[in-house]
Formats: sequence, C-alpha cells, structure tokens
Amino acid sequence: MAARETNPNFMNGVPELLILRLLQQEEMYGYEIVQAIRSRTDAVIAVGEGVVYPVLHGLERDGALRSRRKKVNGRSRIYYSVTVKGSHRLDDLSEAWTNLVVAIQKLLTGGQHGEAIP
Amino acid sequence: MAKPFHELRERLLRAGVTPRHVRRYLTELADHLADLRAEEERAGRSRADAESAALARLGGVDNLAKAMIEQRQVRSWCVRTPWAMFCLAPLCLLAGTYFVACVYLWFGWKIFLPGADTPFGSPTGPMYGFANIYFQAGK
Repeated sequence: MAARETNPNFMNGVPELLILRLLQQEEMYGYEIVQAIRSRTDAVIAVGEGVVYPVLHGLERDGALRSRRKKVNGRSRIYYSVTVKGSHRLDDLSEAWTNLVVAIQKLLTGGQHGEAIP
Repeated sequence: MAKPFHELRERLLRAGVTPRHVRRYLTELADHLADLRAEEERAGRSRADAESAALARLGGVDNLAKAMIEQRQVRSWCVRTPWAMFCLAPLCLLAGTYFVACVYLWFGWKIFLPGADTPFGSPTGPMYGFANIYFQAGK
C-alpha cells in the first residue's frame, strides 16, 4: 500500500492555493490579491496582509508565477500571473484540498457508519 | 526607507534573505502600506489613525520577518547550503582554475614552442612579441 501523506497543519498550502486560483483568472498585485481573497471568501479567510508577499516570492522562485512591473496611476506595481507550472501546481493543490474537504465532510456527517445524519 | 521597515530589513538580511528579495519585499510592503493608508482615510479616519490602522493590518515585524525567512527559496545559497558554498565550491573553483591554466599552457606550448620538449623553456632562446605576452599573461 502506498504511503499516505499526513496533514500536520490543515492550513498548510491554503494561501498558495488561493493565490494561484485568483491569479489564474487575471494578473494582480499584492494589495489586489489580499482584497480579492477577503471579498471572495466573505472575509472568512483573512490572511495577514504583508505575509502574502513571501508566498508570492516563493511561488515565483519555484516557477509557478511570473511577475512584471507595470505603471498604474503614476505608481510602479509588481503584477503577478500564473505560469504553466503554476497551473499544474494549482491542479494538484485543488485535488488535495478537495479530497481533504470530502474526507472531513464525511467524518462530520458520520459517513463511515452509513448515511448522513439529517 | 520607511521607518517601520528598517528593523525588518536588518532582520531579513541577518537571516540570510538575499538583498534583492529584501529590497523588493520592502518596496511591495511600502506600496501596500500606502494603499491601506489611503483606504483607511477614505473610510473617514484621521491621517494618524489611518497610519496606525494600516500598520496593524499589514502585520507586525515579527510576523513579516518570519513569513519571509520561512521561504527557503529566497535565502542566499550561503545560508541554504553552507557546506556547498564554503567547501565544495572553493574546491571546484580551484580545480577549474588549475584546468584552465593547464589548457592555456598547453596551447602556448603547441603554438609558440612547437619543437620544445616542455612548455617551460624555449630551445631557441628568449621569446619576444606576442609569444612573450602570452606566457607572461599565463603567469
């Protein structure tokens, strides 16, 4: 039987997943990303605003994101977008998270012993 | 540099984050802070209140530093793999330099001293012109 990965921290990879998903739709800069995460998750997920940049830098170093400088309203912004490698990474992360959510949902609804408890 | 980021800069550099990433991180944080300040001012706060609210939303120095230091990819090679940078790289560099010197000497020997048994002496006496410059440069 294949070894199964453990989940030492359920929030591991969440910022990565959210950022890749948002940037897959359109290129954004840091402030926009944080605002988008807050508005699209109805503020349920609020990441530390400055903490988003290390994640962006790490993803860029891994080749999952690319960045470019763009002048907007007289200010130079660094816009990020997803690469092909980033899209693959997003697919992997999405699958892992979907499995995790299904597993937790199953546990919460008592799926192991039969039908969901109404 | 903005005052709140001075300590952060020092901490990141001490932890081995590359200066290029530190500069960029601080630039992005400064821009983000300006956006947050503007947002807070639009919400009706005074300039001083907007500044402190923006700094609170951005995160404390501890959190900002920790988040960046945890990203292994943005740290310099000297911190990530000191054994490679301080043991392996100097040895490779030394071997490479020795190899290049040998190749250089060999070419000089074949081009300027075709009849000589070794590259360390000319059978026809002293060398002048380009040959001399070539071997002097090799030294």
